[in-house]
Amino acid sequence: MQNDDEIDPEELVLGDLLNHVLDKGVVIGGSVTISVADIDLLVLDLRLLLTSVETALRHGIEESSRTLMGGSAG
Amino acid sequence: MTHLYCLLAAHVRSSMPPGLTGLSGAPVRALSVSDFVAWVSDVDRGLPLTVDGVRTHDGVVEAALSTGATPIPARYGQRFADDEACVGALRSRADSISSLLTSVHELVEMTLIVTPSTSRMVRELQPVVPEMFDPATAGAGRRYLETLRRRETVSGAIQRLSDELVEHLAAAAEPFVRRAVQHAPVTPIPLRTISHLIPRSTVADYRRAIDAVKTGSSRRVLVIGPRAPYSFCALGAEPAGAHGMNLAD
Repeated sequence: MQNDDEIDPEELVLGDLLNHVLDKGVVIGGSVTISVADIDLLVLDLRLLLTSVETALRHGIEESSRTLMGGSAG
Repeated sequence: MTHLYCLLAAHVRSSMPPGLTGLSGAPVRALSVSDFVAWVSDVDRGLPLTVDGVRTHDGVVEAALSTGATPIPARYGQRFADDEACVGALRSRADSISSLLTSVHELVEMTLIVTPSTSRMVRELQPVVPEMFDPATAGAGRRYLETLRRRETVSGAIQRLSDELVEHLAAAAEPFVRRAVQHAPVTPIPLRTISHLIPRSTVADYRRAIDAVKTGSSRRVLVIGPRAPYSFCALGAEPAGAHGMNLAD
């Protein structure tokens, strides 16, 4: 049984998934709409450990998408 | 618009799972380019960036990996005006992509995350700021400095433990690893993330070797994978495992 204070592995897995899919993989071109390094998304490593990941990320991503997609969705 | 998920050797085209869907439930299609295929789907121009979208993208890449071939995953967010534009961009890099496909053939990525065991340990490493100490109270400055010193001592000890564990893990994984990258930390948290490119046939042995490494009570190692080689798919000058978005031409 997991101790309440233990870091939830699922949060780490989701954080790593987001780091990978948003920040790695081959870049061919087209309209790349995400600029991870310029926004708070990758602070998610920290947030994932300390807060509710879904809530924090959904807020962060949707806020970011409003900012980024409006001007660069191509 | 056309959203790009991944690239696969041409012979895998017929292996696409029937009914595979991508973003917004759109059917995933295979576009032929040179000696490889691209898995794509139609997307709306203003498709929002969400966690679910990222998961769906990765789900398609996972489906490609489950065919038995190793796909080159596309970084999320690459959209083209239409299929023709997508094929054109891919064709302009066909040689590099073909080489990349060859280089990851029958290999998969495994990721190790080394982390403190508990949230409490993480909180103990939070930055100490002078504002936390009321300057009007006697000895506030001294208490601040003492706290700072204590925090640095704890932090240093944790970093050393992480370094040692990462070394042990690297040694355990060494027989299987074709390429490795330690990802640059993106937060002050003492979180270490290492990706290994290993033969698909050795995943079980790799896991056993990692599991055999003693982590101690203050550290934990999370093993993620096998998955598509996201960290080993840089084209051109982009370094493997690099963080940050490098826009292609």
